[in-house]
Amino acid sequence: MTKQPDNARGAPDPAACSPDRVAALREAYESHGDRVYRTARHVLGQAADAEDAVQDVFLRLLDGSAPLPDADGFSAWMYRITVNHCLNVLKRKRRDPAPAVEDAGVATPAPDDASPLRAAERAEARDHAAHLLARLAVQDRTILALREIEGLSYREIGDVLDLPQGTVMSRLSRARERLAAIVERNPQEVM
Amino acid sequence: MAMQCEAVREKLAGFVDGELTVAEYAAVERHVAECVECAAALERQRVAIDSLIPLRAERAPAGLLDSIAEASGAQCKPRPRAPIWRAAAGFLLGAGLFTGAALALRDDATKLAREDGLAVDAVNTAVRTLRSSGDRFAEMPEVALLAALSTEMEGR
Ligand SMILES: [Zn+2]
Repeated sequence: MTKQPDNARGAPDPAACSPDRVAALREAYESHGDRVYRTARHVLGQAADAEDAVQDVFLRLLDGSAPLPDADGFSAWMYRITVNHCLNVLKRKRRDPAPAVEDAGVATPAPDDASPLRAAERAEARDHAAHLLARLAVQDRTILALREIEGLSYREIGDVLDLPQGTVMSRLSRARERLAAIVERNPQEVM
Repeated sequence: MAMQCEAVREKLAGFVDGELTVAEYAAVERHVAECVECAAALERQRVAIDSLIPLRAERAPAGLLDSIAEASGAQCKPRPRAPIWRAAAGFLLGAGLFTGAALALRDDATKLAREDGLAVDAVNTAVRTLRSSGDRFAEMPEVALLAALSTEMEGR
């Protein structure tokens, strides 16, 4: 699944490969890996390509091709490069609108202390939700992922997507309308 | 002036999320109290929000960081520097050699010492020794110096 980085055959850049950079990679992954993964998964509309996208995003940190923002802007910056990278991937693949089949089996559920049955129910609910979200167009998936899953404010979403807050609001209103219509047509079957 | 349905629909997200001004909020509130369609649309905003709650706790697949680290390894061929530095620190402590290279290497050595769990004090001592001793290696580039140190250590 994991592919070679684009520049694997190029000469390593000594500054990029410094212990500081490698430590930064691990630190960034620990605090942002899950967020980048979830965002990539839902912008791409499927789990299969999300791992490659996450790898690409974090290797950009390592190879020094992107400047590291300060701590305050780090989160918004990570979302921004994640979203932009995924949009480019989709453009390259000409895959949009979303693929009909969401392969939900790859993602790891959150740790769950509850009984196996409850864990299974949660996994079922997650798969169902991801499946419905994946039916929307990429613009809707993206703004819904940033708001409902990642919990960004309108201002932060505006920063990530380069949109005024009023546009964030109207797009979000419409995306929710379309998602609700899909949800109402596809009630989750009770196990 | 009453808000029209279309304008209200665009603001429903902001109504639910508390992102409207007080005046806008009041206008939407008045409208949905009288308009059945917009009231239903408001309810659909909440349906949509609730439907995605299960996805909030999703985690990246286990082992993904390792894959990335592996890929970054292909990108940056790691040199086995730390063991050489450990050897170097010990060697320098005992040998009392060279001067000029010390300044250039001090920062690197300290960094590596931290990374490798090597006592920073040992490196500092080694660097002081470097500074105050002969100049046999002063002009050597770092790589050659490391190789020389490594060879010296193996010979001990
Ligand atoms: Zn209305």
